[in-house]
Amino acid sequence: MSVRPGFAPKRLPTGWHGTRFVGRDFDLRSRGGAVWASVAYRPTCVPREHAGLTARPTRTAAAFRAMPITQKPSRHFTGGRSLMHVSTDTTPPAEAGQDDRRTRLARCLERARSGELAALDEVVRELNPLLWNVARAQNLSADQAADVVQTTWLELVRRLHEIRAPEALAAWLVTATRREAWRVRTWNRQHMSEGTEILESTPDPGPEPYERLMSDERDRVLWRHFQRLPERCRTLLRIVAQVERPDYSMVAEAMEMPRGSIGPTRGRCLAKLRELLLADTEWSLS
Amino acid sequence: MTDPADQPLDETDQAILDQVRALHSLLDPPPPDLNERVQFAIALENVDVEVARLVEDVLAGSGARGGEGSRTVTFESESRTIIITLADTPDGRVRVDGWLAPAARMRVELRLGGATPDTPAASESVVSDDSGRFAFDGIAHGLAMVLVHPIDEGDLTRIVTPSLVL
Repeated sequence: MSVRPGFAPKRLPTGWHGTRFVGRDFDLRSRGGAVWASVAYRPTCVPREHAGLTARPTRTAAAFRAMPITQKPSRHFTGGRSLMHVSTDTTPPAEAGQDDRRTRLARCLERARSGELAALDEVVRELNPLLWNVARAQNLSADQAADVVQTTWLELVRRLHEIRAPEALAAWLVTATRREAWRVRTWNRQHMSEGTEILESTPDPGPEPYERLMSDERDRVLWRHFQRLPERCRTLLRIVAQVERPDYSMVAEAMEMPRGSIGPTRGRCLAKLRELLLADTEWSLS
Repeated sequence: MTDPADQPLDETDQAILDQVRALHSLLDPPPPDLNERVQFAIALENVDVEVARLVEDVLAGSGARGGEGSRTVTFESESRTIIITLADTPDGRVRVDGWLAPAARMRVELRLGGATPDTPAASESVVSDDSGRFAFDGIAHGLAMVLVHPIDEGDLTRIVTPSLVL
């Protein structure tokens, strides 16, 4: 049992998301969502050699106190030889990519296990878009999907010490989200016929309301053809699009498919979509 | 043997996938407060808890979720069902009437998110009566979650609900 002293709400400063995008992540963001921009903000659970740039000194005081003294970032950068070589503008090298991210998230998990639950905030920010897409791909309403994502995190907190492979944290969360989503779907099926009004329980509202959101003709064309794909393809591509290739085991978890069949299925679904798009003169690649 | 999933996508396929991702981010982004709700909910002192799942969220009377009227939310955990009814009061606040089943005297805490990111969270506690009923009056709209603690076993949280927006 871990006890974190006191209750301190942990919030991001307003504008946080808008100001921390740097380098290639700005590119991701401009493509509409920075959903997997793992180094989009200055991470907290960085390896020791990057400790000087954890620099979110206003994190909870408890979290700060809980850090080993050697890791504490100097608020004023007045000294500390270990910090001298660290540029505050550095983010972990982009080329380290997914492995680096996995290691970092595993580190967050370990810190959470040692009682510093605030270390999970970083994981939440980073994996919520993926979990959201996993839940929504199960045809849950927006409210239900949000509840499912929340419940998943609560389950994680409860089972922090049961996760055997910290580097598989994301896959664990994806699996848990899918199970929670299933639970809700089953409940929906059992109760929908009783005549009670269940709020916003209808799945995606279909393409019509979305039309208003799409100012770009290319988006409309893509959406139209995307909707023509079999549901399985739509789900797979939606989730694959969220995940970098080395993490396809997560996609396998989310889809309940063997890892080995993700590649061929992705290939078939993309080929189909590509065929539809290339045949449409209104669609363009860029 | 090489897994086809490990083969790099050609430029066209990658561009299509990028468009698919961008389109979903545009059409179906996570709710803007999702991170905040999760971070609020998991800020627990004690992780040895039962998670109560939201199983039903029903409106009575007029209005949509978040609007006027009353709303009944049901959570279920392994040991107990927690039902809360939220009613808007004329002073612009919320009255929360709740019920634990099976009935028990327990300390029920309503944890409230601050109105702004800089406002500290607040918390109110009541003890449910022998029939499992409890109530909170004059609660501000905003983020909230219910925690249930035993009265006689120290102060450890027994059950937590996901956060919801009152």
